[in-house]
This record gives sequence, C-alpha cells and structure tokens, in this order.
Amino acid sequence: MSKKYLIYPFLLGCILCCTSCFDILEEINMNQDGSGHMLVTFNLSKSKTKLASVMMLDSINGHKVPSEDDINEALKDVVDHLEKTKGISNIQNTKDFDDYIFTVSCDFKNIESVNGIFKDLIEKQNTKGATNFATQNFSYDGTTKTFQRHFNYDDSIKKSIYHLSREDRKVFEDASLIAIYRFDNPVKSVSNQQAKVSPNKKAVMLKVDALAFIMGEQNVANKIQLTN
Amino acid sequence: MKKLFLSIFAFCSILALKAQDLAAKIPANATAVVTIKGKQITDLVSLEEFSNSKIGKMLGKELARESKEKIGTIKDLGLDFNKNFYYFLEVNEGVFTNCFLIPLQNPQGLLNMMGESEKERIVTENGLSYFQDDYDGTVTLWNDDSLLLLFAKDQSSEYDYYDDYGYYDELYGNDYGNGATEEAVEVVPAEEPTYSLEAEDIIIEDVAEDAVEEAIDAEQEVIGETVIESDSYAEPTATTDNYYNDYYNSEEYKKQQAEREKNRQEREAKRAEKRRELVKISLEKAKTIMNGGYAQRSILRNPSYTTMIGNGQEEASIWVNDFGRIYKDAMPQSFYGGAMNPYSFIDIDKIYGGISIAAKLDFEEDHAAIKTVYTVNEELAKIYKPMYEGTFNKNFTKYINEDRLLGYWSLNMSTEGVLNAYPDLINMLFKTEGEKSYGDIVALGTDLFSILIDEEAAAEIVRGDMLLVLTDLAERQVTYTDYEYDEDYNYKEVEKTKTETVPDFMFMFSSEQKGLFDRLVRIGLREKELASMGGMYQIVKMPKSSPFDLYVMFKDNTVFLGSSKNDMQAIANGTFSSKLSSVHKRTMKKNVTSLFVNGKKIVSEIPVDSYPSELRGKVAFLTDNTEDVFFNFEKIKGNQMKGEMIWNTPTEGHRNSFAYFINMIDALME
Repeated sequence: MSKKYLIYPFLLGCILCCTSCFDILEEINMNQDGSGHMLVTFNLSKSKTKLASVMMLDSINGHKVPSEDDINEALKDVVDHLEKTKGISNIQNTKDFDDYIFTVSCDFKNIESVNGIFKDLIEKQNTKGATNFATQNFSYDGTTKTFQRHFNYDDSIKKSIYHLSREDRKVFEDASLIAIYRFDNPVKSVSNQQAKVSPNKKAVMLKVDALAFIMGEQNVANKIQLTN
Repeated sequence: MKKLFLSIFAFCSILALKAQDLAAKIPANATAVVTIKGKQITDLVSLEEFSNSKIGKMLGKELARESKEKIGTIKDLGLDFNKNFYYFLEVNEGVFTNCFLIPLQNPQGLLNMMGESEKERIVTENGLSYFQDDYDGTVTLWNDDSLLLLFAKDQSSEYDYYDDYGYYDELYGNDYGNGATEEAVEVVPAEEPTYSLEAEDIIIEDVAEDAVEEAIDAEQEVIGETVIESDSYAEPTATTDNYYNDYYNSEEYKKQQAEREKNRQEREAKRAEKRRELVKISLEKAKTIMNGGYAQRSILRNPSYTTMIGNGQEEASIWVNDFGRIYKDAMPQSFYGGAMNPYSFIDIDKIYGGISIAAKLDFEEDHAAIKTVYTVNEELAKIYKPMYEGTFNKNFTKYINEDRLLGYWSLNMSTEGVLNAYPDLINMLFKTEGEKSYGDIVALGTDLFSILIDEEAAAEIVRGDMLLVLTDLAERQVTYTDYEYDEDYNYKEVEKTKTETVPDFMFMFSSEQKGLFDRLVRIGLREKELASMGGMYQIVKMPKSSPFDLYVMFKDNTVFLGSSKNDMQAIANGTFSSKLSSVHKRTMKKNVTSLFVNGKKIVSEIPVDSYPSELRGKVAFLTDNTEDVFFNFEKIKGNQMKGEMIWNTPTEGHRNSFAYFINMIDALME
C-alpha cells in the first residue's frame, strides 16, 4: 500500500480509539475563475482527554493506536501526495497534539485538481471492494455557474460499520461531517434539503451526522446554482 | 508395627485410587499437564444447575444441533463428571503431541455426536474403538470408560518449507541464487532514468537507487517464484521490460526453474512420507496411552509433577515441566546443535533449565483464586534473590485513606540489588563455549557498566520501593476547542468546557537524595515549569489534553507525585487523615509486588453515563455483586516464586464463587 494512504488507517485508528465525538470540516472558497482554496480539519478536541490516555497504549479494542510519529508520518505523506498532484499549490498543514486538531489546506487551480487528490484512492477502493464510488467529488461549470459536490452512496459503507463491534460503532454517534462552501457570486439554489444558505447568499453550510451518513440516511451530495 | 501396617494400607489405597484415575495414562515425560477435576466442580454447581443456566442451555442447544437432536444436555454426552479430565502435551524431536483424556460413563453419548461417515470408519480391536483422520492423523479412541483424543504436529518440518523458496540455497551460496543476483544487478543500467509516474506526470528523481532496488526485487522474484505486479504509479519502461523478458526467457532461468521444481517435488514427497509416518505413530501412541502400558513411568512418578501439583482440593491445575528440556525437545537435533540455531550464542539452559510452573485454580465459598508457583534453577535463584530484597517504606501507608481507596499497586524491589545482579545475569546468559561465544565481549561490557554505575548512589536516588494509589473518582472541567459560526458561516475557534470523571492518584517512592530533588525544583522554578505552593510544587506546563493538575513534593525521604491538591496539601501540612487495614499493610510489605482493585467502590462511583448502554440498567446489580481483586507476587524463597490472584465474590445470592461466575454470565446475558 502506498504510504500516501496511511492517513486513512491513522484517522480510523484515532476515531475508533477516541470513543467519543469528533468533527470533520471540509471548507472550500471558490473564485469566479474556478480556482480556490480548500481546508480540511479533523477536530478530535472533544475527546482529547481520552485520546491522551489511549495514546499511551499500543492498541485498544483490537485497533492499533497510532503514535505521534505515526500521525506526523501520515500528515507528511498527505502533504507529499498533494505536492505531487497537478494544480495543487500553497500546501499547509497544522497539528495540535494538545487539542488533537489537524488541518491540511491548499490552493487549487481548478476543482478538477481537487478530484485528482482522491482519484487514485477511490479507483483502488472500487476495484478492491467492488464498490461504486464516484471518482469525481467536485465539479464546477463556469458557464452555467454550477458547483456540485458529488457523492454516490455505496452499501459497503453500511457493511463496513457492521464489521465493527457495538462499542466501536458508538464513536460515530456524536460525530459530524461539516461542509462549508463560499462563492463570489450569490447562491440561487441548493439541491440538498439540509444545506443552509447564508443571509448574504454567498456561503452554504451542510452539517451531516456521521452515523446517518454511514447508514445512507443523509448525504453530502449537493448541487449549488450560483447567479450569473 | 501397627503404624507400619496402617502406612502400607494407606499407600496401597492411594495407588489403587490413582490407578483408576486417567493420570496413570499420562507418560512421565509429559511437557505440560492440565487437570480439571469433575467431582470438585460438580460439587460446586451440579450438572442440572449448569444445564438450567443460560450458558448451559446455549451449550445444550449447540449439542442438540450438532447431534441432530440426539443429545439435549451436557449430561447426555455420557461423560463421567465425577472423575478428572486431563490434557497433556508431549514434545519430542520437534513433534508436538496433544492428548485429551476424558472419563466416560458410557460411550453412547460420544456415538450420538458422530456423523455417519465417522461411524463408518470406526475400527474395533481388543476392546478399543477408534477412527483416525487420514490427513492430519487425529485419533479418536475410546473404551467403555475413557475417551482419548490425540493429534500430533511435526514442527521440525516447518523449517523444510523454507527450501521451497530457495532460502537455504541462498544462505549456503548455491550457484543459481548468487548468479541471479549478480546478473540482475549488472544488467540494469542504474544511472539511467527508467521509471516515471505516468499517471501523475511525476518523474522520480532518485532513479539509480530505485533501479538497484528493482534489481534486488527481481532476484527475490526468482527466489519466490512469484511475479509481483508493478504498482499503479510505477510502470516499468521498455528498457526494464526487456530486461525482465530476457531474463525470464533465458535458458539458464528455465534450467534453474526445472531444477528447483524437481527439488521441490522431492521435498514434498519426503514430507508426505513423514506425514504418513506421523499418522501411523499417532495411532500407536494413542493405543499405548489408552492401555497405560507404562504404569511404572506415568506422570504420577514424576517428582516435579507430584511435588508441585500434589493431591489438593483445587478445581483445576496446570503444570509445565522443565522449560530447558522443552526447548531442547522442541528443536530437532540438527537445529539445536547446528549452525541454524539463532540463539547459539546464549546458554539457553541457563535461562530455562530447571524452570517449571504450576498453577492451581480454586473456587471457594467467598473467592476464586489462581495460585502460581514458579520454580527456577539454583543459579538463577541466587541472582534473582537480591533483586527482590526490597524494604518497603512504612511511611507510604500513612498517606492512604481506605475509605476513599479505589486501588493500589505496590512495588518492593531493591535498586541496588537489581544493578548488582544485572551484570551477573547477562554474563551467565552469554557465557557459552565455541566460536560463536560472545562471553568475553559481554563480560567486558558488564564490567564497564559496574564501574560506571555506583549502585549504592543510584539506590539513594530511587531505593526501589514505590506505591501508586488511586483515590476518589472526581468530576473535572476540561476544556476543548469548538467552532462558532457567524451568519455567513465564517467561524472562529472557541474554548468550551465539559465535565469528565477522572480518578485522583498519588505516586510515592523512597529516596534519600533530597538535595537532588531541591536542585531540580530550583531549576523548575527558574524555568517557570514549577510553581511553589507552600511546601509542594505544581507542574505548571502540563499538556492541554491532561485532565488533571500535577503536584510534586519531598517529605520524609519520600518523593510524592499526585493529582489531588487537597491530599498533597494535607500531606505537606501533616494533617492527612490516614486509614489502612493491617491486611493491606502486610500485603504491601511482604510481597515484591501487589495490586488491589476495590471493585465495588469503582463500580459504584463510575457515572452511569460512562457505562456501555447495555450495562447502564445493571449498575446496581453490578455494585451489589462486585468485590475486591488482589494480585500478589511473593519474594523469592529458596528457588521458588509464588504469585496469587484472588477474586473475592459476594456470598449473598451465590452458593460459592463458581456459582457466582455462572450467575454473573447469566445476568449479563439478559
């Protein structure tokens, strides 16, 4: 397995070990020309005392507990991968082992560059797990001013949680996935019923419960129509 | 004269009783023996009671399913629960023989459990019935009152499989192994760039190194006879492709392949023959064991077994024979004495020789106990002894209040003894004869260690006795970072608080070096790592994730590290209210290490929300049914070390501790 994918087992390890709530924030600021800035934040702060205790152990509930070195290595691999991805620049990352907050941010030339980050991983997963995840996560049509967050739910997500013990599943009960997209042009409409448009019409926020997302009851897919 | 006759009578009675016991069928050279005493257990919980418990019913259902409804309860199995059940392991020349000896009331229950195909294979001869698995040789053999299950595995043949991958070929420098390496390294032009990450338009800069790695990979492919698929991001270029194709199509490679295949088939034939031989031996061995053809040499004549296990009232026991002999028996002679032994530079007999273990499980009315005796050889015992000759600081017990005690862990070692013994121990292990001996080098290292380390001075800093005490579970406010969003979904980080339950603790160790402590404190204060608080010091710079504050102090030749400000202040002011029973004081003093868990207090003080949801409704039940747990490890006496784990159980509602465990499983399964 390529080192660049170490971040995923690491995150799963962290999440399964922390036995409490966590947030994953996906934030995109889109410019009119299709370029923009992306920030992904993993906030495990609410579980920091448990994490601090758990990280003294080698494993918990049969899951390996990543060390600080593992986390640093995983973040380095992410940055290395981003650096090698076409159209991605200004890569920054922060790690706070006191509060257990980790961020990765970058500028992108166009939204296709962001798709390029995960393309390999998704393709591999689809081949290996016979799943049907879309390799295109985002799209932006400059002529129609349409921004789309794509996501095909696959039953394998539900199945994978059934493989976890009842105790391990609880970690997703208070967890959230939050997506915030900001635009220069005002938002005309959004397709996802749960998404909220800001009063100035220039930002959209979508908060999804992790467990509902895993069970396929809530989805992050959204089509955002901007005014010309 | 009367006494003599009585003694002879008693001796004969014991022998007669033993003769009926299946232990008489266990050979004297058994490596390990496990005993479960049916009578002792069924006296605690009858078969009917067990069958009516939830776990018993579950087992009954499973038996009914397996036997196609011919058997409904564990009683129907036809086992004789008034006798002892045994498992033993015999190890010889790398062959591990596992054997179960089970007393039967009648063999009908066993026949009911068998499938038709198994019944068809039953052979009956000389009052014995058996069938054997053709492939792995497992023997199921029985007569009217005993059942024997035996399976053997030849671990020595495990090493043969390395041959299939050319491991030994390479190790001993066979021509084709080395040739492949040389050729592979020569052919690949290491200085030319040969790889590109086409999918991502990224060129690997350090190509020379990669090319060499690929050449080594190619050699491994030759050895492993497997084709490794190239990674999606590292497609080989035409140059490398040609190299692979040329190599794999070459006559030399094909010749090597043919030779290797021939050798593999020969080895496989030998292994199959060995397997067939083992199947045959297994059957003969099973018959010999069942017939008890070695009454004079049964395990009952093994002094180590009889001394360590005896004839006590425990419900189950485990005995493991001389570890040194096990090691020798487990290794094939060619390996043990030969160049392949990876531990030839260590005197294995010094570490394992004369070591044996016996453990007994005992269910009493108000507690269950596992008592372990660990016997070591005289030389090792002599080295270990000073390590465990610690002196426990009586002052520690002045700073415990039993009313708030959740648990403790005490250690009573001697730092000076450990530092003195360490070089002797290392020297003893490495003092071997022969070319591979590192004895002199290691002795040089340990001598230098002894010169550099002043054992007495080190023991003044940390004497070796220490105590960790867990006190109240306290609710504490802990901070965490969250986000607040404005109406345009811009957010800012905000610090919020939540309540978490964490235990307070106090750690103490004896030290005579107050000067060193004071010096460290002065540095800590100067660097603003510590804050003075009237005789004690708070560690200021704690990680934000720490749910507690930490305080340090030196008093009465004791270093204190604790999380409770109140307790630390009380100790500093001399107002700590102590209370500890003499049982705990004695336990800490006489044992090398002891662990105590106040189960009832912990269960009752953990907030209900912290329990798994399925247990939240049972907290009151758990509180009523949880008692203390002790673990103690005694100081070395003679050449024996003894450990015990005692699990106290409530008597109300439970006839004895075994019934307690059955009842608890029942309650938690609801």
